[in-house]
Amino acid sequence: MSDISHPSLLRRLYFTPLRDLLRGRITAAQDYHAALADAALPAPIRQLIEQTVRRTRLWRSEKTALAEELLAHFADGLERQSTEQLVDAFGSIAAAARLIRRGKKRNRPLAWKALRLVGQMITLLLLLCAVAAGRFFMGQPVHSVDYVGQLQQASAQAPLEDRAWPLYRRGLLSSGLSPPSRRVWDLADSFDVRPGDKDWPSVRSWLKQHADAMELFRHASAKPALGFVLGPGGSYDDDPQLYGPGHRFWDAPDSVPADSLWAIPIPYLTTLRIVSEAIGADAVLANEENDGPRCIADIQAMIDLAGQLQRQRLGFDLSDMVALGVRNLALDYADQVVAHGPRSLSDDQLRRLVHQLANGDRAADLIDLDGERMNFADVIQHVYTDDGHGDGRMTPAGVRLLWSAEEKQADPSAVTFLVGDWIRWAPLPVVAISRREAVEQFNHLMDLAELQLNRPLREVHDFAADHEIEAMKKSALGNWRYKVLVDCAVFQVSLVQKAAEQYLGHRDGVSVGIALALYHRRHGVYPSSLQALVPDLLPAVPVDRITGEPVHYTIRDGIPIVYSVGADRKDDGGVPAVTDSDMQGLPDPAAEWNVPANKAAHGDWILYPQSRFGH
Amino acid sequence: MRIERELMRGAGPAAVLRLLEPGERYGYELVQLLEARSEGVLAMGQSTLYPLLYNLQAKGLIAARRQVAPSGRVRKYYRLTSKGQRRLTRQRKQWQALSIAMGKLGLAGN
Repeated sequence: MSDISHPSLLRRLYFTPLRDLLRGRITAAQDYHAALADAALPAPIRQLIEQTVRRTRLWRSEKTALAEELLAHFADGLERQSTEQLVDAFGSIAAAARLIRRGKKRNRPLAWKALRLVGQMITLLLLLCAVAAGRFFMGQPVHSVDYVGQLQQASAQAPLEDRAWPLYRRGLLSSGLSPPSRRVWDLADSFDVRPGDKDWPSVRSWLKQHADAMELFRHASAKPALGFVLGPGGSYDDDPQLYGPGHRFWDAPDSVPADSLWAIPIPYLTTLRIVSEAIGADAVLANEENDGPRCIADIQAMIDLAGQLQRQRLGFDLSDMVALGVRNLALDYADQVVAHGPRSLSDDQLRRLVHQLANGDRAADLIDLDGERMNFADVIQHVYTDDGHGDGRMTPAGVRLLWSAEEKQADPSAVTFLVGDWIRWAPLPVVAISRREAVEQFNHLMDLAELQLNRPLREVHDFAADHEIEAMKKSALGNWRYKVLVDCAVFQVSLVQKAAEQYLGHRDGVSVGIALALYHRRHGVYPSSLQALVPDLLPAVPVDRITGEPVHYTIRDGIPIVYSVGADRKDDGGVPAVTDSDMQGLPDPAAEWNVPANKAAHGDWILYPQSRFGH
Repeated sequence: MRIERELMRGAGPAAVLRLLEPGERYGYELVQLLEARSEGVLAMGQSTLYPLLYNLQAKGLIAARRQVAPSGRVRKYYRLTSKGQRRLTRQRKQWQALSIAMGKLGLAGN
């Protein structure tokens, strides 16, 4: 710095208030050092003022005003007292500077005080965030239960001779239905053809060519256990021949822990679904060839395969849903065989078919939520810390796991959790429910769902579980708060139940259809009412699953039709609801429960023969 | 005799307000008057007086103005505001009551 008595332009600019600068004047009015240097005061007093002012660490304008006041004070004092007396009377410089600073700051503008308060609050908030973040990032999930091991043990429990998978595997390899082959999917589509369709000859030819594989599949389905050993070192890891070298069922994100149920590949669900399609097509071929025993055996094989899938305990409801899909296929083929003339089937075989199809009367008989409960328990132990008393908080590993649950749905290529993801997902650990709350809320939802699945859908007037889940998703806060439930554990129970009830309704229709076919064989005509079938051919007339009344029956163009009055609760004489051509193959629009009658599709829900009505 | 800090904390502001009641005064003048009128009992160093003045100013009890004296010296004069006047009136009553009470206890007066 240049000499104070001859300040440079830069120094003068530095000490000029902004107000003066804006007026074009370089006043250096805030250069209290220069004022002190110019003052006619003894050096000890100048030093005292200099030190006091400097130590206040006030704004420059405040320091200037203070220096000016102290200069006047000591100038006045020197008229009556000596320098030493004045310096002594002043007291401690440090204490004076501290007290003056405090007093001066109290005189600062309100806006500055408000800004300072905001700054302090932000600092406090940042500190709290830092503490919370530190606590969060130190959180580690505790894996106290080895669910993967439990599943692995359960799936490997069956003796080798009771396992179906080795036979399915042989059939898959010999028929070329092995998963890596693109041809599998083409074949799966091809199986969905019927005699008379232009592709039927090629399917028939393929089925004849692979009759041995079909036999293996039937043989496999008769085994009590599926026997696909899950988990590391299991049937999937061990089988490059079937799944190809370096096979990967899915691109598991690095955020999915290898010891979680989510990391277990379950490729057999897709594979066996295709197997069931092939067996169904073989049932149609057997009927065409008047091979009754094989036709019945094929349908039985599909039903047994569904049972194997249900019994293969897996931590998801996926198994049950795929099993239900296979049951539906079996039913479709049974419907088709009976509706198009079960010429290959004897009376006994038809009665056996009815018996095979009888497997419960409630959705709960087809959907078991134990797997969901197990899956969620595993999710919880990978997401939360464990305080040993049933509670805990969200962990970084948990956030990454939930991210993968959500992100993989939107972008299957997303495998790595990046910094940007931390920023986007930051609200989660702040607002997420605790471990205890999550478990309690989940159990509550599952209890509601089980209660609902045990009742006919027509008697369920309040879809409480669905409503509670929807309420969680409704707001952004709720979505974050209940994310562990929304992303990992929640399915729409009413949709699952509807699928099960639609299956059960169709099953009842096919059972009545078979009884009608037997009656027709015996009497040469169809009965005037379904009561005529009871009790010889039918233990009781099934109820319409929508109304609870007996199902309806009519004959049109010589074809017996069994039907429910449908969602509009109006008997349209067995005329089906109009289905958009694009909706062919999807559930009947008349098969609805939770739609008000005045808003429902007009027409009846055809229970049998669905194969003649495009469903 | 100098009084203890806690007592001074209550008495100091009241004394300064009282000294400003007749009219405006500058810092050194207040130091001198405090010492003279209280016979040294309420004497306070500049390191105490100026922070006290700034606090009273922040509370709106006193106001300040800058004035250049004929000698060319720039002084800061302090005066009582109406709010300060009301506070002084209230404090005067309180000090009187306190003084009477202390007197009855044999701690003040004769």
